[in-house]
Amino acid sequence: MQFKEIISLIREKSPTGLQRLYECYGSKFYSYCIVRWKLSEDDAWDVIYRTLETVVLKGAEYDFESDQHFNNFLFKILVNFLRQQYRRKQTNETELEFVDLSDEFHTPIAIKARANQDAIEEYYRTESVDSPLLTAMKSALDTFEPLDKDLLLLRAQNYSYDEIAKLLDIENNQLKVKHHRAKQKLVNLLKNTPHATQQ
Amino acid sequence: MLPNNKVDLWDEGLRLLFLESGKEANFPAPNVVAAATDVSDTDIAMSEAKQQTLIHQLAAVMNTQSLGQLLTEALVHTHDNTAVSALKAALPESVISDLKVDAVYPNNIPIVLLKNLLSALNISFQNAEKSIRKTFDMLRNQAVLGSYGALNPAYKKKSSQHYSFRDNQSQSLSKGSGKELFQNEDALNRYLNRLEVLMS
Repeated sequence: MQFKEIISLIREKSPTGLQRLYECYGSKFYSYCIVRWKLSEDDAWDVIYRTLETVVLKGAEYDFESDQHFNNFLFKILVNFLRQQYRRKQTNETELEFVDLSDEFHTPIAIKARANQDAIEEYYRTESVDSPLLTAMKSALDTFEPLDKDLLLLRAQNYSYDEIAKLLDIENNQLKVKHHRAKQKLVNLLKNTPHATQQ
Repeated sequence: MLPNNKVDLWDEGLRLLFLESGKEANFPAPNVVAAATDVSDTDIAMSEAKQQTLIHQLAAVMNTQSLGQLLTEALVHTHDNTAVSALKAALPESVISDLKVDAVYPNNIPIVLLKNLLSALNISFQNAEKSIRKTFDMLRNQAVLGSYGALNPAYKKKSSQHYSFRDNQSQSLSKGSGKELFQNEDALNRYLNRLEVLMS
């Protein structure tokens, strides 16, 4: 169990523990932040530093049953700091232009006109997560088959169809078509949820 | 990826949904961590210089004593006990006990009283500052971890006289998400600036 060795080294204040912590976890998460979330190298560094700092400060206080449990603990911490950094990044982006790509499926003009860009920009600015659009999207996704849900979420994080096929252990058999259909389904579900798209 | 900072509204909503799901008790699903850590041709490596800075700064955190550790060590050196220190600093014994186990934000202690305690224990501002910052970071991280509500039973906290954040050891230890006035970095910096003046 590599995490036990790392925690033990950190408890002994060994620099080797920190190096291992970075090599086993930090390096992969760094790439994840940049490749999937388009953070700058400096922003990704901040996220990784804060994540690993939490392990240094608090990791020794917990009992983990397995490497998987430690991985999950670490990833949860990472996503917390990633969320903060991503919101900060999007808030500071002055040139962001939201587009509605579902338009290629001949979405009714009413949806496009009502697509709630304000809800997302409000989310960036506030601590509140009471976003009608996100609430509606979550409810809609909860009705999806796991494959379609994973496809939508992974594709939104810039995974290619080949990467998605490998991760989900499936054939890349018309995944692009499946993704488009799933997205169309999501948009149509939201069309029928008034609060999701009201301005 | 769309060009020119164009963002698909629906994909952005999905991304935000994913980030918010990180607060849920059942996060992450097994394939999610695998997706994040899967090695691919598009991986980007941290530069050597950035790695060294990262390790160096983490080492500084690792090697710095918390305020609780610093106070405990100082009490041994001065042969004072908690009661004596409480008397010298005019602080309740319970507060000193909380400080010793890092159960209270240092900058929530009346500044003159903390200054008196540090002086009584012959702790310099320079040493105190580093330790106060460490304890502050520890408690702030603790608040974040606690706000997940979310660490499943696999992450059992070890029994420790230190951070039983599920127990109310101190009224000062907030269950909040760090939004109390004293729990932000600006407040800490102002407190430390003032403490430095008092101790000089």
